Amino acid sequence: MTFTAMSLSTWVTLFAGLGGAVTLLYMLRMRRRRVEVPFGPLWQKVLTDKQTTSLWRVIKRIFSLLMQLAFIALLLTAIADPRWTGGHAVDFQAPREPEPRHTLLVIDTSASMQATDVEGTRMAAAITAAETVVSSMHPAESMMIARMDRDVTAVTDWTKDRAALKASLRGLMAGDTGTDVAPVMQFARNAVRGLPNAQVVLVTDRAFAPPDADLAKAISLKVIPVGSATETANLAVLDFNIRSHLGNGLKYALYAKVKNYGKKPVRAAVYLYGDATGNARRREDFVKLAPSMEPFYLELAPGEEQIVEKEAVDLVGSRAALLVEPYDKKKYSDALPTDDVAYAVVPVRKSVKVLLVGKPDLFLQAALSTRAAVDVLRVEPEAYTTSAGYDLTVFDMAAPKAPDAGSAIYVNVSGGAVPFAADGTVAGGALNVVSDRATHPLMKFIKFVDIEADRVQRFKVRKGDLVMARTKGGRAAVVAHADQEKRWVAVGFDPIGTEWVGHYSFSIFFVNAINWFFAEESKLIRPWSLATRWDVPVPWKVDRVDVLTPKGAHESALVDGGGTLAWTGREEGIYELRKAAGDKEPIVVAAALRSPEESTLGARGDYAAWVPPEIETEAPKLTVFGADLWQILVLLALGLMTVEWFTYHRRWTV
Amino acid sequence: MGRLFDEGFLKRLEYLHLVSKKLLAGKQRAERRSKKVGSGMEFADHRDYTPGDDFRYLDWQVFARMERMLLRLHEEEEDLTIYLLIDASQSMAMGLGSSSKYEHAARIAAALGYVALANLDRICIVPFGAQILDRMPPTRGKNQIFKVFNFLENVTPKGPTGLEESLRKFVHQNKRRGMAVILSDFYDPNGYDEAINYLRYNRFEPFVIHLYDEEELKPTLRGDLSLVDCETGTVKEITITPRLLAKYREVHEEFCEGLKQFCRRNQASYFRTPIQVPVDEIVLRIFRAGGFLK
Repeated sequence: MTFTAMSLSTWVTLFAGLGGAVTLLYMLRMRRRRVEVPFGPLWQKVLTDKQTTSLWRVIKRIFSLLMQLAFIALLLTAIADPRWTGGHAVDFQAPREPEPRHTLLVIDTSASMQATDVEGTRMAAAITAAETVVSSMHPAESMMIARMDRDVTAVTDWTKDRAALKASLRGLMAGDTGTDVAPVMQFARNAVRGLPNAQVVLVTDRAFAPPDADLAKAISLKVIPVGSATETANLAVLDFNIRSHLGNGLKYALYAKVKNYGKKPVRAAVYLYGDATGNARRREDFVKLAPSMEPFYLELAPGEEQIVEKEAVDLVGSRAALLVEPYDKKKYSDALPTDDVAYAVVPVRKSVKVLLVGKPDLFLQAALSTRAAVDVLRVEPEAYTTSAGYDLTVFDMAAPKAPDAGSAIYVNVSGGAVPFAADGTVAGGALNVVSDRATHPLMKFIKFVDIEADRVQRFKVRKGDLVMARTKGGRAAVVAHADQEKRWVAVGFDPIGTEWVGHYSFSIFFVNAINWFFAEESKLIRPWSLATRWDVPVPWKVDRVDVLTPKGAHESALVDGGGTLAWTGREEGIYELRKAAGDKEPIVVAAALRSPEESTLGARGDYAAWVPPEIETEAPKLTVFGADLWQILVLLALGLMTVEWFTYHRRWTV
Repeated sequence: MGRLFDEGFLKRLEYLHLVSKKLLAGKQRAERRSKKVGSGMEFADHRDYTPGDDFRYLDWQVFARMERMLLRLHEEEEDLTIYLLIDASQSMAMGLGSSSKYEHAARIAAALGYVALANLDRICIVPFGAQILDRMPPTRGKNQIFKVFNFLENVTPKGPTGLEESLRKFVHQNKRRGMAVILSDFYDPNGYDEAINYLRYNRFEPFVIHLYDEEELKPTLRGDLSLVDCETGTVKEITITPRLLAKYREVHEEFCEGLKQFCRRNQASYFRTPIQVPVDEIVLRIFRAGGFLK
C-alpha cells in the first residue's frame, strides 16, 4: 500500500492540527451552562443509577469527539490517495515535485503546407500532430508555440494551459511564403536558452534546406514530419512577367517559366487573364474573368522546366495572372494549387489626344498613330488657333503659335513660336544617335542606319537641352528638353527628305516620344517576392500609405524619408497602395511565391523524430466494489459524520 | 402590610377562621386535644397500627372481629403551644415557579397561626436553616397576627439545611411541649429522620408539611448542564435527557414517599402539597385532613 499524495509526516502534521482544532472546538462546545438546583443529592442519585449500567456510558461522552477525529483521519487518508503496490507494508511517499520541462513547438506555415497530398492539407495534418504534442504535455511542462515560414513568429508565450495552446493551434493557417529555417533555429536557441529540460519540436513537411546539424542537436530539435512519403505531383509557375510589346504598342510580350515537379509527364494548359475592372487581386477574382487569349499547352516531361516566351499577346487591363493546370486532372493530381498561378502588373496605357499642325503628311500621321490609344487630328497651320483640349501638339514645318499647354514636337520648324533657338540651316550628313542617349526613353530601339539629312537646322543648344542625335559633322539634329513645366522634342531636318520615314524606327521614335511625354514606360514591372522587403517608390509625401492586400485587408505601411514604401507582403496576388484609403488611383504591385523549394514539396534532411513521452506508470489504484479506495474512505467519513450527527442530536451519545 | 400578606390574604384568613370555628363548634376554648396514646381516658379514634406503636393500645376486639390491627386513640386534654418551624434555608428561596417555597410556607404558617391565635392558642414561630435563625416567642391573641406577619417577612432564607441540628436546639430552647409544625422541603443531605424522631422523643407532636415546587419535580432543563446545589455549592455535570428526567422524577417521588412513610411509621402527621396550590386551599385541606384542628 502506498500513499502517493503526501508523506507520513505531512499526514501526521495535518491530523494533529485538524484534530487539535476539532478537540478544542469540541471542548468549547461541551462547556456547560450552570444551573442551580435546590437539592443536588437527588441528581446525584439519578446519575449514580445511570452510570452503573455499562462501559458504553463511560465512553459515550467522548464518542462524538472520537467520531470526528476518525472522520478527519479517514478524510486525510483519502486525500493521501492510497494505491496498491503489493505486500503488506504501508508506504507514505512525499509527493514528488516534478521537474519543470519546456517545449518550443514550431509549426511550419509555409506555402508548401497547403499541399493536398495528405488528407485535408499538410497544414491540417500538422495541427493534428501538434495537438498530440500538446495533449502529451507533462503537468510540469510549459510550452510555447511559434509559426515559421520566411520568418518565425511566436504565437503564444510559455504556458501550461493546454486549452489555450490548442486554440492557438487551430488558428494557424498556411501562408503563401517560402521557408527560411535559419531564423527559426536562432529563435529556438534564444527561446530555450537556460531553460531546464528544453526541447524544440518542429512540425513540418521538411521542404527546405536542412539546418545546421550541430545547432539542431544543441537545441534538441525533434521533428514531426507531415506530407506524403510518396512522390508528389506538382505543376508550378516559377516565373511570370509581362510587358508592353516593344514593336507593337497594342500587344504585350509574355515571359513565364513552368516546371513539372512530378514523376509523370503532364500536358499543362496555360491561361492568361487580364483584369480591366481594376478589382481583381487573387486567383479567385481572375478565374471568373474570360482569359485574355486562347490557352496554350505545354508538354512537360517529369522534372522538366520550360520557358515560355510569347510575343504580341493580347491583354486587357493592367493586372495579369497566369494560371497553369494539368490538362487532365484525373491523371495528374496537382498537390499545391498555390504555385499554379502567378501575377504581374503592366503599365497603364493612357489615351492621348494629338493635334497635328501642318500640311497633310501621311508618314507623320501614320507614325503618330502607331501607338495604341492615340487620337490624331490634323489642322492647317493657318487654321490653328489653340491647342486647348489636346495632350500633345505636333508642329510640322510651321509653328504659327505656341501651344496653350502640354508638350510639343517640332518637325523641321525653323521659325515662329518655338521654345528652342535655331539660326538657319547648315549642311547635314549621316545621322547618329548620341551614344550617351541610346538608353534614353526617347531613343530606345532607334538606329539611323544609312540615313542622311541634306540640311539640318543650326540649333543653339542651351542649358537643359538634350541633344539626342547629331550629324556626322557634329551638328545637333534632334534636341529634346524636359523641365518641370513642359517637354518638347525638335527634329532639325525634314524626314520626308530622308529614308528615315521608310524605316521602322521612325514610328518607334514617335511612340517613344509620346510615352516619354506621358511617363508611360514600356519597362518591365517585375512582381515582388513574398516575405521579402519591398521598396516601392511612392509619389506622395506622406508618412504612411494604405495597403490593400489580396485578401482585402487594409494595412497601414510606413514610408521612409526617401519616398519609398517599406513593406513585406505575405499573400500572393495584387496589392493596391493608396495615399489614403478610398483614393481612386492606386499604385498596383504584384507579388508571387516563386520558390522552387516550396514547389518541390519534397522532404529534405534527416532529423531526430519526436517520440511521444512515456506515461509515468502510477501505482494501480486499489478498488473496492469498483470504486477507488479514496472514494470509499470519503464515503466512510461521510457515514461517520452522519452517525455522529444523528447520535448527538438524538442525545444517544451524551 | 408587607409583600407576603396583603388585604386579600387577610380576607382569606377570616374565611379560614370561620371555617375553623365550625369545625371546632362545641369545644372549649383553650382546650386543645393532642393526639396521644394512653394519656387520656376518652376514646377518640382508631388509626392503623404501625411498627413501633405501643401494642398495649391495640384494639383487640376490632382485631378479633375484622382482623385488622387498629390502635385506639384517646384524647388527652392539654393546653398546647403550636410551634411553627419554618425552613428558611436557601433551597426554600428557590424560585423556579411563580413564588418561592419560603413565601408559601410563610403564608401557610401565618394562616395556621391566625387560626390558632383566633382560637386563643399560643403560637411560637421558629425559622431555621443550618440552625435556629430566629425565634418569635410564644404569643397568644388574635391581635398578635401582625406581629406574626412582620416576623415572617423579616426572615430571609439562606444557608444550608440542618434539620437535626436545628430541631435539637429547638427542643433545648422550648421546654413546653406542643405541636411542632414543620414547614419544609426536607432537602437535607443528612436526612430528616433523626430530626423528626428527636421531636418525638422529646414529646413534641410533629406535624410535617412537606412543600415542593412542581417545577422541581418536572424541571424544564435540557442539554449539557452543570448543576449547582444551591445550599452546598456542589457541582455536578450532567446532560439532561428525557430518560434522565423521568429517572429524576422517580427519585424525587421516592424521596417524597420515603418521608411520607417515615412519618406514618413514627406517628407524625404528614401533609404534602405543591406550592402551586393556593394557601387557603392548602390550609383547608390540612383542616379537613385532620390532625391540626380537632
